[in-house]
Amino acid sequence: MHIALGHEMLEILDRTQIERIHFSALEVLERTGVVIEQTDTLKSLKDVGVQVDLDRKLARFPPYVIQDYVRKAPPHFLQAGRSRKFDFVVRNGSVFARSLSGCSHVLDMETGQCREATKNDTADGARIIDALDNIHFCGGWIYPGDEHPSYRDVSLFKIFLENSEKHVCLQAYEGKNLEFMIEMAKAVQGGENELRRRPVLSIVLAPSSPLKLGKFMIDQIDLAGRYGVPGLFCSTPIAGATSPITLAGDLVIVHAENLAGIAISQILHPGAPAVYGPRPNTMDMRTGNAAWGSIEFGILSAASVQLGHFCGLPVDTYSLGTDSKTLDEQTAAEKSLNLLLPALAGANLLTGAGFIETIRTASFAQIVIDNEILGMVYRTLRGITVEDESLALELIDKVGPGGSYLAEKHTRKHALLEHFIPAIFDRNVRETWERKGSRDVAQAAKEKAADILSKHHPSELDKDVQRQLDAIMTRAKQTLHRT
Amino acid sequence: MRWALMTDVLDRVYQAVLDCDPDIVAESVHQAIDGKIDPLVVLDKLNAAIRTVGEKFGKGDVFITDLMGSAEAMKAGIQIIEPLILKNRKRVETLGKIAMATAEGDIHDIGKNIVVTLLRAAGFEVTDLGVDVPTERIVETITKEKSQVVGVSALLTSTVAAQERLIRRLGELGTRDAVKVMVGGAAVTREWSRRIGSDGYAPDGLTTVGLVKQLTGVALET
Repeated sequence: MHIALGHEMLEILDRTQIERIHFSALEVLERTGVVIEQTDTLKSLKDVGVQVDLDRKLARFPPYVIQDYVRKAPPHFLQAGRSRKFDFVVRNGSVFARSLSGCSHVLDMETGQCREATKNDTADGARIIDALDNIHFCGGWIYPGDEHPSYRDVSLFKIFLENSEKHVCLQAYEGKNLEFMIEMAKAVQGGENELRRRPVLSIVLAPSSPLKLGKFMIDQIDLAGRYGVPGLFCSTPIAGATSPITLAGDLVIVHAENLAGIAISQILHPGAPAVYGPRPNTMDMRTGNAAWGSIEFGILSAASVQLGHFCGLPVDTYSLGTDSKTLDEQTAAEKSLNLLLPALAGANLLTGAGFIETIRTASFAQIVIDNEILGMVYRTLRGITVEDESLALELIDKVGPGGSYLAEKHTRKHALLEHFIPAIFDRNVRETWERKGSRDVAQAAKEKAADILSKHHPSELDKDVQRQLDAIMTRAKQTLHRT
Repeated sequence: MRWALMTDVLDRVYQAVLDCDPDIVAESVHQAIDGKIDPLVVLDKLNAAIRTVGEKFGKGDVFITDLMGSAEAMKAGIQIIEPLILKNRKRVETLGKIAMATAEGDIHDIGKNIVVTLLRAAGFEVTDLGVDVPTERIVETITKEKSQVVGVSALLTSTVAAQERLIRRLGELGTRDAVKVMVGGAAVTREWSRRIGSDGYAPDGLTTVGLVKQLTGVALET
């Protein structure tokens, strides 16, 4: 399941532009500074040379502090599945994909209507991700609306552990919630040391743009670092609202926030696994809505890959974004472009499979289509192998003018290796397609999803582990419940 | 040859066709013949193998290149046993006799070759007339061989008229009812096939097998 990048195929920014944005971000961190809503951490920052104004909770980072500490982040680290076969190493040079984290609604498989998600949907979603080959790990895809909002995230993590053997990356509401998730992760992996060695959980850490790192984020940076849980630093400004509307200005905010977060994680826990995660969405000026399918999102993501790699960090980009409400042409176009741009730039983790409607709504059919698009993009990233065997001059001479390559061994040998074979995209002639029911791809994907749900059952948790998870969940409910 | 060894060598023939390996096919067919196995029994095994591959292709389990590779491998075996069968003047049972040609003026034969392979894999005896075949030669062949179905394929729009010419010529000769004419190829539509009064049209290779089964009465019309 390791997919190696041939080489970076797209450079949106040239070297001078990268440096200019990088140094601009450093200038912002030193001149404007970042608000950090956690006094203990501000004191730790002061100890390493950060200029701290405790009254304003403002931290101004000298460039050397950012550069020294960001450098301590590991260039590669493991993200583990519940099952070892789903373990993978995050590093520059390889690429893996996951679903997004954060849908509150689903397109109902029976009625096609959009409705609030339930725990059943969360579980079904985890099983579908578990079955799809091009999606290597789970995001906290579908948050169950029938679970109390104070601990919905903890419940989601438990459901994912029960219904998928793949690694889970998700958002915790607060540090306290993350503590319960880490308890669960320890139970599943067999203790704290084993969790540190094979973290089954990674955590999304998002600042409040512009340039504010809330207590909930700092608490989680500290907790994750303590247990070796990888942190995904997700600067999520809305261009025009919480960052400059210009693409370069937006990149400065993204870069500054991500570097500040990662530097803080390394000051608190040197060597803590960290991923550079740009989420540069834009504001639609006609409505004031945030757009996650805009083409600028894709362009900015591709540029951010270059900025993250410039600092030696693995990069997770938001891909497969769309603002469409249905599985239509808008969805296909926005998703494909916003995936392809950062992928060609060399993104290492591709987030976003499974949603429509600006992250709000999950679709089981759509994640099957996204799995297909991911397959096409992986094929793109493998590039073109140019060597004697693939140039095939001997074969060309043997077949000669007017001959056929169809029955040649070379053709059989390379057909599967060189070409992506779609699972649901249709290539039949019209008559055959009509005979098979004239299904469009949304229908074919829906049937595939239904087939997965009827057949695919990941291995169950050990009975003792299951009892521990149930007990942790009971305690989480008692502790976290707020009315 | 002992029974156990005989099934062994026939299994090897079968497997070598599935593996697209003409050398092993030839080698094991020779072994079978040397071991005094009836050439017709060997032929049955070759047919069974290509039928299996054809069915797998129909289900999407193997690629077209596997099917063509298996057909090539099978050919290596047929070349050895065909003279022996003819020498013994034995008749080979097939599902029916088909003639296939690419329309006059058209030299594109990949599609036609795929159909020929699929029909042979399904158990039909196919005479492949090749490319750019003049109407008179098609008429001669189907008369001489008493073909039940003749298929004419055209990729170039400029050559579809040859399909109409064949049907008209058969009418002039008064032999139109003796043979079913099917047309296909990228330039051909179902509307065209109706307009020229053909007996059938198939949009792709797999559909052609079903069409030929209907036209020959092997399968009932669905």
